[in-house]
Amino acid sequence: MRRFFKRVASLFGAVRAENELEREIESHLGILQDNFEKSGLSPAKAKLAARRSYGNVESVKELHRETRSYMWVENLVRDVGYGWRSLSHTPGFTCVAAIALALGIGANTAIFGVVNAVILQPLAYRDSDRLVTILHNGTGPVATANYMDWRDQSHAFETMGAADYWSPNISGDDRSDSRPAEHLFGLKVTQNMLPMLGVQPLLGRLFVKGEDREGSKHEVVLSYALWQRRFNGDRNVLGKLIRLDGGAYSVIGVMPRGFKFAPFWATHTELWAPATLEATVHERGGNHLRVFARLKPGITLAQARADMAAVTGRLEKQYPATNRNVVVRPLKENVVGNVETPLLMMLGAVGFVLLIACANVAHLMLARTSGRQREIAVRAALGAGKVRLMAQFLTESLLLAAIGAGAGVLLAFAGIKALVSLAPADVPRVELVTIDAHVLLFLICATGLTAVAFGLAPAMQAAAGNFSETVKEGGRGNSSGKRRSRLRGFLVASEFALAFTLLIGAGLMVRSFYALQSVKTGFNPHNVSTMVVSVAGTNEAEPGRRRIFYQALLERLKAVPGVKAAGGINHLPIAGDLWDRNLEIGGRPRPRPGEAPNAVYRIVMPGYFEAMQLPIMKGRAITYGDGATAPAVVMINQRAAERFWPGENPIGKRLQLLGGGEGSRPNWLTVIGVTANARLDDMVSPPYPEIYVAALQTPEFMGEGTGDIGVHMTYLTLVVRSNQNPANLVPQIRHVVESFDRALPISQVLTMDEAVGLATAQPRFEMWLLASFGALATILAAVGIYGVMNYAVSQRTREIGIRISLGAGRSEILQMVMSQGMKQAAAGILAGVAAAMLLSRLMVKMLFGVQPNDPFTFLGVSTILVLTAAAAIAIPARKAIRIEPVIALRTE
Amino acid sequence: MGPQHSYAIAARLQQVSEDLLYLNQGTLYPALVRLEQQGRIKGTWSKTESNRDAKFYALTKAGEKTLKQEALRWRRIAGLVERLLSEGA
Repeated sequence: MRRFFKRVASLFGAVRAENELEREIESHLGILQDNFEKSGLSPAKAKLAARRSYGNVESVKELHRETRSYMWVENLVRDVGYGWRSLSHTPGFTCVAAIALALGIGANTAIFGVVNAVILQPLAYRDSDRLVTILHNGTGPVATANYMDWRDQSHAFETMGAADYWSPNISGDDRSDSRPAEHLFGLKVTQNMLPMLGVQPLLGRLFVKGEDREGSKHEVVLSYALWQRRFNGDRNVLGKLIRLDGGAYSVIGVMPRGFKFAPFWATHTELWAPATLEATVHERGGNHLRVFARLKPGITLAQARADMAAVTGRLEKQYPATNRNVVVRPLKENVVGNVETPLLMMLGAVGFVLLIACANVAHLMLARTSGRQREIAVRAALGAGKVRLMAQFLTESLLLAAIGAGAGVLLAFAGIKALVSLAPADVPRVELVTIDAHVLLFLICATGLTAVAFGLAPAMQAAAGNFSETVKEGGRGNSSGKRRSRLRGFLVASEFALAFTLLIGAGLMVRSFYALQSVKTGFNPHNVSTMVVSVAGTNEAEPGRRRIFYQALLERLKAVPGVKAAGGINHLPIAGDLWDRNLEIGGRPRPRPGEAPNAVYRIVMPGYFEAMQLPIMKGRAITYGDGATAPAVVMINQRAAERFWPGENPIGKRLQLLGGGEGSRPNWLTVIGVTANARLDDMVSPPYPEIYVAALQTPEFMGEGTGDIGVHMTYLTLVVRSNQNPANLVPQIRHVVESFDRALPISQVLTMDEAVGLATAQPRFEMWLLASFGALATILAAVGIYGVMNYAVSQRTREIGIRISLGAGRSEILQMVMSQGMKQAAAGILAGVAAAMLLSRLMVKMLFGVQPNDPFTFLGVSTILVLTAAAAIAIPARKAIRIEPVIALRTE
Repeated sequence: MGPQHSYAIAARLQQVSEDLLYLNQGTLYPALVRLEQQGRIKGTWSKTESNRDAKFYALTKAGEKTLKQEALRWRRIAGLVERLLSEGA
């Protein structure tokens, strides 16, 4: 080994070697000169004579240099050539090994590609690591007055901006435009919001100071996608007037392709307009703004947090029950926070698969090395040192890994395509996933490490062999001894340990997913189609007309053949937005600020409960009788009944909505019915109190209110139950809507089954990914144990033959082989249990309804692996008991 | 014979071989470098009698062992070849 380092050192110490050479020549010339002087020449003549007799100094140097440097280059070239020849002599081995490696490397590269784009790459804003969000509990919206105080009183931020959800309808930009109206997703932003991000517009400009004041002209910035889709990429779009919700907006800019804001909420945003905050400037209750800020240069996150804590602490004293739990968080954390753990886990899982593939190739190589002992012995006898032999074997491994990597890249391309198209829609930045320089670097490193991982053991074995013995023995190859079979046993056991750990991960995801599937939605999601009809900017938005339109629309829908029930709601359960309201319960003291009971706020048109088949547990549903002039009514869910009137009959009790904005008058609602608990916005959160008010009794919903809240109530989600495939009904529902007005945009067409599917898309994706890794791992482990046992049996043919001829029964032979193999598998599984107990804890956040050390999963996975191992060992075991002693003894 | 510098080695070879073997410096150096890389000889810088800087090479333990083996091998081969040739003659 020391010599090896010396040679490596000589590679890098070329300068020193050159000096050494100079010195040596100098000394030689000196000695020659001395000799000539001794023979009587004058010093000057002696020097000349020495020169002459020495010959060409430069050519000597050249020769010397070659000796110094040729070794490693020549060795490398020779090793690569040799490795290539030896690999191509055994195409079967090469193919199997390359496929295993390609699967491992390809899968790793694909997953790393996703991790790289989604987690590692910075957000596409200038100095994006300086951007933070300032939100309640990290993600919750903020009231206008609080935002303004934060902005004015904090010192840690260069700028602080805010954004508000906005979903306008765009209609034809002039009368001759016949394109259908479209429901868009946008944001209203403070003037400084877009400039804060540091992205220049592709065309035009961003908002300037003053454009977010009330009364200023309406202006809008478009996304690249909207510009292309709606305006065909026309550069003359700047200055053009477009109609949004009936108002005229002039286009002042277009953002570049790929620009996205906001990155973690309202991610479908396609246009931005200035937010005018004057109307809500004194509001500390209605939380609707998302606050973003850029840290001042030199300010750390901790300093910013301290600054905000001081500001909010002061404000909380001033305005009790406000400014609580305000969290300053890096923007990126909000973007990738939800997917970070699962993605890194997938990377770990796929790393396990690669390790198993390495172990497999390693013992393929070991078996091959044993077969090549004669060759190795001859090479050693011819003067190849141990290091040279190791280098040669490692070069061969590297070559093999490179072949695997070549195929792996192709697999990775296909894999990334598949991952991107199969990934649940809410994985952020998934559109950015590509194979870039980082991914290629990862691939190269993975390949090198892989080669060392599977090539080191065979290389060391090749170098360690007792060659003269081998040559004498005629290469019978059974001098391998215990050490080698122990190494194989260890490799097989590790494969089983890794496969076990992976399968536990997969098993837990499967259990968790089935637990999710069996969660009751509370309603019957089958055969229900839903879609959002937006009236904003159309004639139907007018007070009075809207009321009539909604009722007439539902009546017409009920008349469509196949429709069993039709209703409407503001936001769908599971798939829709969640609004909550603070309440006052009748007969109790008025709640102090911050202590009011809270419930999810739903506004329904009659027929909703019928269409959803959401059971009414007590009382009755809202009907058309509960109109504008009738007594105001409300329905609540069971959770609300338990929370607000524990142990009492809630029917006939009264409650009042608080915080309806300025101008909302006291309005007591009487509870008329109790519904079952429906899922809120996902499948895992526990039930929460919900109240359902009658749309017909909610003036804001009908465009007749005075409060600010009505601006956000310009749409109705239709819920239609039919007796057939709900997708078939969609064209007819569209047709009915269009028969009222072609300008009415329809969006978010979804069946409730699809909505439930979307809510479980991420766990389903994770389950499939882990399950396929687990299956791959199991197959590789089975192939591994089969290979090792098969080899063991062929090595012991003679011994088994002797045993049989000495009277050993077939069952004893069978038992012997099986127990040898099963011991290795069992050792692996035991190690796997320990590893899985530790690692499965990391999954807690991804699991639902199952504990990370779920005994059923552990038991089931153990059973699967034991059976797999038994099946794989049975094949060589059968071979063993069929050995004919006479033949076995004769062949050797 | 103790450690020798390369000129002395060449001179000695020439002397022992009775001028049949004359090693050009260009041939000798690379051989010495290679032997040193292989750990069979070890060179140290020192002074000659006439106070010149020169690198003195000495056999290492491994070198001695190799030398013995190689000498043995050579004698065997040479003897074998000799026998074969004399048989054939």
